[in-house]
Amino acid sequence: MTQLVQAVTTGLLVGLSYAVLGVGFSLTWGATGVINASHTMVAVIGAYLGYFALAWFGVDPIIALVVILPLFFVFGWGFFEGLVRPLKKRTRVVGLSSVVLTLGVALVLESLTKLAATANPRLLQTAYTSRSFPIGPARVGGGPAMAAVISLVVIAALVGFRQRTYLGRAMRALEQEPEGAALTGIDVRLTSGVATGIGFATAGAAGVALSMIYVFSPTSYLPWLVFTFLVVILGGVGTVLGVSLAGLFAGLAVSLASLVIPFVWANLVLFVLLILVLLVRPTGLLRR
Amino acid sequence: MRPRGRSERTIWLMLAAAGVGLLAVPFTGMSIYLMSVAFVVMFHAAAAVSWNILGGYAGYESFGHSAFIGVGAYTTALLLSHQGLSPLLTAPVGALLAAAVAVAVGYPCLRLRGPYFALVTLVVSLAVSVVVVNLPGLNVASGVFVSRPAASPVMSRFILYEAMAVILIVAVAVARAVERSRFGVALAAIREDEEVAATQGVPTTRFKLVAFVVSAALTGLAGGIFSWSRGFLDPGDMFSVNLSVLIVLFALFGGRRSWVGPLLGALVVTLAREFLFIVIGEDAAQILFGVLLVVVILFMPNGLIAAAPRLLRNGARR
Repeated sequence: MTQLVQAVTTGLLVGLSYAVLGVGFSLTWGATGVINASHTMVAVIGAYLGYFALAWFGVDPIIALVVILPLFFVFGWGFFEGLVRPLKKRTRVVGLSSVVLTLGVALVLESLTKLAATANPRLLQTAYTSRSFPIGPARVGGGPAMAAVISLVVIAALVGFRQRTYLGRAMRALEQEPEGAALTGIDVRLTSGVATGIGFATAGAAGVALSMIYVFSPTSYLPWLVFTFLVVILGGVGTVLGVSLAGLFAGLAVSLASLVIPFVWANLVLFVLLILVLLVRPTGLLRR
Repeated sequence: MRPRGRSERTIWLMLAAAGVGLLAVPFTGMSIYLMSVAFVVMFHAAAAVSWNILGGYAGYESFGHSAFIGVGAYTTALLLSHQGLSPLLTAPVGALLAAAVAVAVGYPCLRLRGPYFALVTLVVSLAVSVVVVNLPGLNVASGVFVSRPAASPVMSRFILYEAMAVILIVAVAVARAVERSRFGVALAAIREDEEVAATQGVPTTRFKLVAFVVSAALTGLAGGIFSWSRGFLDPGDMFSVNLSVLIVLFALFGGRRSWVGPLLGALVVTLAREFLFIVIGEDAAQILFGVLLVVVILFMPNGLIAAAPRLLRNGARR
């Protein structure tokens, strides 16, 4: 019983981090049509920045987010202006070519990270990651707990932004009907740039959150990409809440699966799940 | 469709002559180094030409072809180290297993379009590597030692060269035959507009699956011989996503309409890669390949073959 409660709690906490990782990917996809395979590589870089903020300057990764979030927002906007817009001028249907383009970007970023920080796996160690708190009969590590807090704050901020602000609503309009949105006078270029910027910023936050749970290295972006893709296909493109729920579900699935099967096989549950979902809905569980 | 004045038979004869020439080159006293570079070039070319059967002709771009290389590689490596069977005999077994994996994967996944297919094949290749590495009884997680083809290094390289040359010739022959067949025309119809192709009576699902299986089998064949050259198989090496992406890069860089593009792309990029690895190191070279991928997508979406005449004209004008 304790084991079960433990697995459920851990699954939910980890799932929140998957959710944050997926949300930005989903928003960028929804607003611009770009499937950003380098999204999780951006998250890995976020994890490294948090790690080095602590290792070099003694700054807690959470405080480092104050720098990471705006910095990544600017990167995201630059990515949209520098790469996505030229691509959009060239082809109308941007999906497949954006995968190739962003895999190229991921390759560049992965190699740069290896050059800058070596390929050695890193483990973030702060005062709170070494402690644990009791929740009912289970115990929760300080790392996953803090990651969950970051994730909840980011998701709440995103929901608020999309409901309350003009730009947020413009973004939703763009996801639903790009041409209609342009006809009502929405600045598509600005909104897409902001959406991509937000995508990158949330990736940075997700990277910091994940670094509090897992050991990471430059190649971590691949397993993270699998999670992201699964969560977004399950949850839907351009939905914050759908993706968040899917993240929790994925976290639970892996956590519960590793109760009954060895850990290396537990990730396979996700792969199988993804293929099953795609079998039922060949274009993903999309609204469009 | 036909080039001016040349009959189909003449072209096949010219290709056969080129193939014989390829096989004959080592007899002119090629150095070990050149033979090993040529081996890698031919391996990449065979993989890219095979990839193109689905990725280029039908437009379904797989980002998981290293899965088939891995399956082929581990089949021959394990049969060699446990049973002592030569990869020359067992490479076709690897191809069959790769084809079986392609059937299992392709049946559900080929219903997906464009970007979904691309991402799912990438996910599947990671899944296949997890399965192969952790299958109980195979013991591949800590690596597999593979004995050399022959005692002398020159003889080893010679055998590897000839085996890979044969596979490249087979891959090109199959790719060209597909291009010239009704099947190839149907694949092109799927690439241009799948709904229209289906209404015209093309059995799209079956044809895509056949193309995928043929592509996977040829890739597995190449992987089977490739592992023989390695001495030691590290699981991370064979199933690497970088290899999958590299194969796509060869085809995109060269051009996807015919087998010539992937072959040319593999030749140019692989030679540049060998050179850059020596000069600036592996990580720095990878950066350049990432940039190359971006440049190809943005500025030459139809590949070198389509872009070359334009580039040459612009060059001449200046």
